[in-house]
Amino acid sequence: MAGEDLLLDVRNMTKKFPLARTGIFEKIKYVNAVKNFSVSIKRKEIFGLVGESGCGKSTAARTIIRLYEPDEGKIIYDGTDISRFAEKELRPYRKKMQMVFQNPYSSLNPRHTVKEIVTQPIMFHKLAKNRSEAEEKAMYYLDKVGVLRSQVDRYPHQFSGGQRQRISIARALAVAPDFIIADEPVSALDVSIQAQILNLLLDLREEFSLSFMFIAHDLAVVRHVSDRVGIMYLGCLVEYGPYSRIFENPLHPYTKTLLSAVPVLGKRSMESVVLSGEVPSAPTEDFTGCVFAHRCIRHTEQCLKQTPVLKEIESEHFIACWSADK
Amino acid sequence: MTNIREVRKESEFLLDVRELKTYFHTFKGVVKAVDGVSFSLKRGDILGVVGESGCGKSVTGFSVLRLIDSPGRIEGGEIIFEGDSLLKKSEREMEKIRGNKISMIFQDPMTSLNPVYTIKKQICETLELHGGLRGKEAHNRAVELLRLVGIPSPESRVNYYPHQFSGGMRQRVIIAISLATSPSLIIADEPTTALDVTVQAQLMKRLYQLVKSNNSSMILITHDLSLVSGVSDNIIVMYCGRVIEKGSSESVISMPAHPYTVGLLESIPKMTGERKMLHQISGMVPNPFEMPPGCSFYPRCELGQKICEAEYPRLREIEEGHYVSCHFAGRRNF
Repeated sequence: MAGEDLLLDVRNMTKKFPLARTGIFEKIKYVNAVKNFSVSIKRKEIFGLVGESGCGKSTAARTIIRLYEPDEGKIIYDGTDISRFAEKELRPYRKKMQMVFQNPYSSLNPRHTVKEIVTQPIMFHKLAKNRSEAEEKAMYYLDKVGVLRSQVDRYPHQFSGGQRQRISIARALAVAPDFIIADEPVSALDVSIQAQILNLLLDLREEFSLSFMFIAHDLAVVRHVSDRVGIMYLGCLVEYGPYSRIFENPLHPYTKTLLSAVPVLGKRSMESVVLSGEVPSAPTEDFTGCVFAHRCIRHTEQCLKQTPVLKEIESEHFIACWSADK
Repeated sequence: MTNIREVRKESEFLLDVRELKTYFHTFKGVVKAVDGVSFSLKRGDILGVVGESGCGKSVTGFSVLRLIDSPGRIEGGEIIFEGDSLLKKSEREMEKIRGNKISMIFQDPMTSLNPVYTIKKQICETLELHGGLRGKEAHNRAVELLRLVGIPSPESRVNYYPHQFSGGMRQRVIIAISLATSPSLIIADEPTTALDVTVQAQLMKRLYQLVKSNNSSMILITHDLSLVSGVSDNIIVMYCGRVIEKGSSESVISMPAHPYTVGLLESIPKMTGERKMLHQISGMVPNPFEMPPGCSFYPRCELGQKICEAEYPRLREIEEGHYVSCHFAGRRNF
């Protein structure tokens, strides 16, 4: 990949969380929420991150924009490693990387009007000379996402879920970011509204040259918007590649079962093969082997002992699996 | 005498809902959550009720069990279950039907189990109340039910508390409770919405097999058209408290006739084929206090004309068993 159009390069990022101790003299154990996570995102690219609940996709996203401290690895944003930056050094990057959260009911301050919500980040980052200029900017972005001028003095509770998500997007856009992490931005919305928001995101990418990391558990939604897709399972990226390769020719056994579990319109689904068991809890830090091995029908001795690393199977298509090429 | 009754039971629908009206009387005005809904369900069939939030699909389900609380009230219509009118029954008689002949599976597995009792206690409660089973007998049946819904090592798990289970496992427990009395009708209100796709696939498959093998019927209430199309025999599509289209799953999904159904189907991202710009239904669901006088979909409809604004279109049959309420429902193929 050419270095120039690369916006974000994450290398071997690991994030651990401490587990509760069972006795006071016991050593604290850590759980690997995200393990050896490597991903690169180009300019104007939408990278879709998929996985089931608890697989670490939100943790990965929050660590990338430094809402969490990474324990290991590098986060290279536009050529600069920001993984060890102090809060003060980070400030200019906070402006470049924005986030849109899942729940539009709790991510907007209920005591502020919509205009205030969008004006605040502009004032904070001193992107306007005075308040009236900031407000003018806020109005511009609110207009871009389809919130009417007559509605800007209202409070969030006066809007529907879809409208609130538009306001969240305007707030993220207000500081002119290059990169937006959208964490399940449409999963709380009805399908007809979901389509409106997805179309809006695709339009905004063109207009403002944005890169996205798009996190969702709905595979059809991810397929619709993403250029490249990564599949996570228990903190590890198990497969990633161009969207067409992942959906037409999935190679990792987990991706295959995940795709087969998605209900397809008009297809009698009750005959499909389904994965048995449920996602176990994330492994602790001393775990070795493939995280998926215990549920995998093709696992071998090697899978239980050695941790597989991501390797390129075909052009730009990576998987972490010992038995894939056999 | 017995002969006649048997014949009647066999030949009729298990559930027949006619012109059901459930209104909520609030300070701001009357909300017609369900406004003249009719459908019927044969023994052994699965009916999918689809629609977006606020369309009245859950209230329809609750109304069948007469679980409507003040300020809501069932204002009119008929609910005939196994030949008897449920609306004429006393509260006492209803208690014998709820959880026994008709059981319900709720959406949220986190809140529909009681956190302070073990799973065993909660399953046995139903068994004692409706099945007359006690002690060892009830215990054995509870273990058997847990095995049936696919919970590993049910002998020990039966003594667990709800917080010791994951979301998928809790929903299995709820399914076990709902199946405990071999009900003839199960109303499942978004049973898998809170779960991951792989768990959803497992659970739906299990539920489908159990319903079919018991020759029970099920009303599956969901917003997920793809899920419904894979499971149910018939589908009704609701919008603003009314049925706007109903028919067999195949005809509704492959030949939708109402502009709303067409729009909904086109706005779902697909898993195969070329990626196209998603169709979007413009605007929003109307405010329940300011319903348009004619067709409730008129303000968002591309086909809308003068007649739609003035007159609500009645359901009419466009081919055998496929009903649509639209003045202009032309056939469109995908």
